[in-house]
Amino acid sequence: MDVPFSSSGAMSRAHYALVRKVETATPQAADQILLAEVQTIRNQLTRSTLTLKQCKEYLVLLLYCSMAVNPGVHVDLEFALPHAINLAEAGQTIQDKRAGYLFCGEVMPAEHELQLMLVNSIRKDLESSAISRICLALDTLIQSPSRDVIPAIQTRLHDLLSHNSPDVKRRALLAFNKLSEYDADILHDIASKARKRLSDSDPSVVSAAFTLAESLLKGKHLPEDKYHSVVSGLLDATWSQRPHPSESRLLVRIIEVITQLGPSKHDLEVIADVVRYYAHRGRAAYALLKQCFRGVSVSSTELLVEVQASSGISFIKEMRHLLAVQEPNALYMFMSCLSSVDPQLWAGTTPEIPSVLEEWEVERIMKALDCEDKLIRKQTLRTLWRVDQNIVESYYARALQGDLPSSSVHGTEDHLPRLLEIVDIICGDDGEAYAIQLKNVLNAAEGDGPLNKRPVLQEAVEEMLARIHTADSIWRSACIGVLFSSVADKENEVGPTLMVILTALFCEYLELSPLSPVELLCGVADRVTSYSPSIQDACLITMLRISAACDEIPSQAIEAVKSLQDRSGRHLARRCVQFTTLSQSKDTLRRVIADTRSSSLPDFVLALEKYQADQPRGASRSPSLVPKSPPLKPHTPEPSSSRASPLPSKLRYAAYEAPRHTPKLRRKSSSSSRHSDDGSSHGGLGRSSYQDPMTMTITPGDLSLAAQTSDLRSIPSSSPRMSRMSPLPVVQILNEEPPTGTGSGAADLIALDSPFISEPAGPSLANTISSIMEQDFEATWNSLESGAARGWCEASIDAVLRRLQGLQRRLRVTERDRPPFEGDLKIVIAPESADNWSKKGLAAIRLKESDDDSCLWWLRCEDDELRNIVKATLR
Amino acid sequence: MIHAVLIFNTSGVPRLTKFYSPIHQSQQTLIEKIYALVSGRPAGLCNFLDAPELEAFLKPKDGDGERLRVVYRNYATLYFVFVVDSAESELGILDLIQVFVESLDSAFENVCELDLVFHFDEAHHILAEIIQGGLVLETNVHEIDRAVQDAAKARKESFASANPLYLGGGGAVGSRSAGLQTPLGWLAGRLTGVGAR
Repeated sequence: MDVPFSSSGAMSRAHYALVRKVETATPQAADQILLAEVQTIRNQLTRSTLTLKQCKEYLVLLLYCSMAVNPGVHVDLEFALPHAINLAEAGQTIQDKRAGYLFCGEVMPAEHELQLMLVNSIRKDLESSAISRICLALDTLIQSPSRDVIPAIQTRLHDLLSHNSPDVKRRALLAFNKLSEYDADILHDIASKARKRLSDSDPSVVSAAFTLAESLLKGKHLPEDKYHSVVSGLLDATWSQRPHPSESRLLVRIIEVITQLGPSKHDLEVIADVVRYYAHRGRAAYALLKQCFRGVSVSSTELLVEVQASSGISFIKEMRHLLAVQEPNALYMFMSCLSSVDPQLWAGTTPEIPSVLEEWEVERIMKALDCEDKLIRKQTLRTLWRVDQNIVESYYARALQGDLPSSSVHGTEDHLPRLLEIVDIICGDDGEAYAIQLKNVLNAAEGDGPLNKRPVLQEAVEEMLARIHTADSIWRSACIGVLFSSVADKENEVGPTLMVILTALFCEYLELSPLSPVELLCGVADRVTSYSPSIQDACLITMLRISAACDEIPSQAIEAVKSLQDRSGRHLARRCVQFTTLSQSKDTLRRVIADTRSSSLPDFVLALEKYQADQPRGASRSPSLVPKSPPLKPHTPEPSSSRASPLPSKLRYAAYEAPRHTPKLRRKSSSSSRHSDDGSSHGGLGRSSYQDPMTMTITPGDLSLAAQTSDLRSIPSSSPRMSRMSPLPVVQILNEEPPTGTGSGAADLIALDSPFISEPAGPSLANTISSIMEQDFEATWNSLESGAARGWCEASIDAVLRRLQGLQRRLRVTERDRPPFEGDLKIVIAPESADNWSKKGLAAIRLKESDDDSCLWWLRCEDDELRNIVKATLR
Repeated sequence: MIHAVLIFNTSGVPRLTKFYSPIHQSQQTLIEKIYALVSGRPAGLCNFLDAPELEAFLKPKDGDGERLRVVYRNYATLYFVFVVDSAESELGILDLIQVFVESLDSAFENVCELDLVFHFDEAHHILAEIIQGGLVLETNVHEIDRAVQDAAKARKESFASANPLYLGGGGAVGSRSAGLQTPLGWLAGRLTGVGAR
């Protein structure tokens, strides 16, 4: 950005400097700058010397910041709402007030408690004599309507319906319309006034009156026949003026209303005239013509035949010339006109009405089947389907054989989506037919190699899942019925793409299955060996999900999994073990399922992962369980974060390494670590480490930690937190990396040099304890994902720590140079009670120091009360 | 109904965002998604596309099954994108985008991306004269311009008109922006049918 300040138009130097910095920064740096700016403004807003001008400027800057951050970063601006409300109330100029209202409109959610604070400002502005102030208040009413405001402004709003200014009138009409959603009774007294506005001299007021009339009709405050005749009258009057296409907005709006009401014969005759008059007036008339054809599309064919006969106008004939225009929008326009009119009226399907299109025009339409634009292709297919189903069916047959003329740009790889488009049209509302055709399409597209060599067609997976999700329930259950049955039928070959689709559907729609879960489980188990490993992984997960619904796991399935386990690599073998273990333990499995965010496969995987991470060490030695198969990606709501896969044990060595950048560390944490390799090479020794007598060396650490953080009652091994601690492989650490006194071991001692830890007990113990803290922090942090907050604190880390200490709660502190999140000070606020499952009173905090003696904090806490306390402390 | 009005540049950086329906997920993620939908489209496609995938972000809670559609136009370095449901005519919305751009142009005189960066509050104001609560308020550019001026009484000078000799280009341009000072050139598009898409 090489624009000098003087000519940039910036509000102030600060504004200019911020924009300049952000515009020239990398995305990550830009986020940092923006977050820092929000924090600075936050502090500025607390100054007592703040002027309204500054306040306005800050609010605009805040809005800029919240808009300019990159995905994944959230800026919470609620702290500035009181200032915005104040500015809207006390602003001297209309610009000041506008900034205040704009901020409230953008930041304040509906039903926010501060809405009430705006009522008075809105009322005062409505009662002002300045039109711009009235408009501003009305804009705010339309933007953020609420029930509370109605009694305060209803009378004034009623008067404003007959204000002199069209700007005020049209807004007042829309405001009534919006507020009627909250209290339909307010429409009682305004029907006559609203009717008057239908004949207003200003087109935009009439247009707004139509919107309100719709609500009046719904509330039966306006008789429909009377309204229809008024609108028809308006149509005649407006049409008689033959407005220029660029000024035909009112005509478009009137025809829109007529379309909603259902056009009468007379209306259609006018519409036919309008079509003939504007058909050749170029692009400016497209919107009007499109609206005319929307009116036509809701009319009965008989009525249209009559109108065509009486007026001598053929709707499609008037539009034919668009086929010759080399412009995609024109072709789209023509195709949408065609699809609005019954083919009887133009395709020559009945002897009474001959075809209105010439041969070259029909050819052009057929060519649109191979058009690059999906929307045009689909519209063409739909239209041809209505004309003659054979055309589309033979086109489909050709397409299945791969004989599809490719559109100019994409080449052949877009065949599959196009095949699915055709299937969508051919099958219409028939979910069963869709499922059958889907199988045909996939067979044709995958080829006939061995199952484990065939590609997974990602596009088909995405398309199919999106189709299922958006479909209505009848279509969905019909489609799912056929698809699920194909698994149970042994003769039926299920290709890898279909299997991936099925694994996702089993997880989400198991209850819609026409077959018993046992049959499904056997079906998948029989087939699982024939696929490539990534699909086998997905199959095993879905089998686990299905097994939750089975009363008993069929031995066939268990056998299949066992034989797969023997033949597979490490990852799959672990998955098999997971299946065998969890499918036998129904309660655990149900708990895992109850813990999922949604019923989707990726969420189930995440829940499994979380469960696994919460398990004692032996069981958690497997590497990340997030499946690496690409097909699962599309339905993952967000790229699965490695934070979701905490592995408490593997950070042992990291503590001795030089501090690394956090993301790198996290990446490492999700892949298999040196440690877990050790574990697996010993063949299941992980579990036996429970009994390893050397683990007893941890007991002093346990005790000293327990002494500071909780009472001794919480130590029993049944306590999940303690059981997590107990199997730490201290022996290996002692053997491999003996502390060197003044070296890293001593550095680790510093880690414990905090007021909350009683007494360092020697290097190895220190390591042990800090390791407990690490995994404790990471596990706590990950378990509290739903209650997250972040912000800046204008105090040093030490000061923050002292403040938190002042809360009189139990704190566990992990120093900055310790993983996880190296560089951050990590604090867990532990609950008073020994109930380790409860998240009440539990919070995890990360603090990152910045150069200017302030710090950035992240907080996770699901206990609302505690969260508020901590947030207040950190402010 | 119009659910959202977005302006972002050809790198996907938002310059103005306005939502008329509650949004269920992160605004930035939605913009990223729409940018991906729109920016990858080659020339030669029409200015509308069906976007059922956006329903996860914008679908009204009571979900009456109205399909969402994206209508967009590209002027110089900016995409103007409207997300609408099936009650709106896509060709009408295309005209409305032109109205919006012309209104911006008459407020800023030869509007360019830079004007939106520094005056996005003003752009919000202009939009509020055109659309209120997801419904079209006014489509006459002169009326919009009059209303904006009546209310603001302070017309901002655009970078281009204040610097008639500025030739553009050169200098270090950030990763987020290129051609900030390029006028949108809507008029050429209107007269010849090329330029804006």
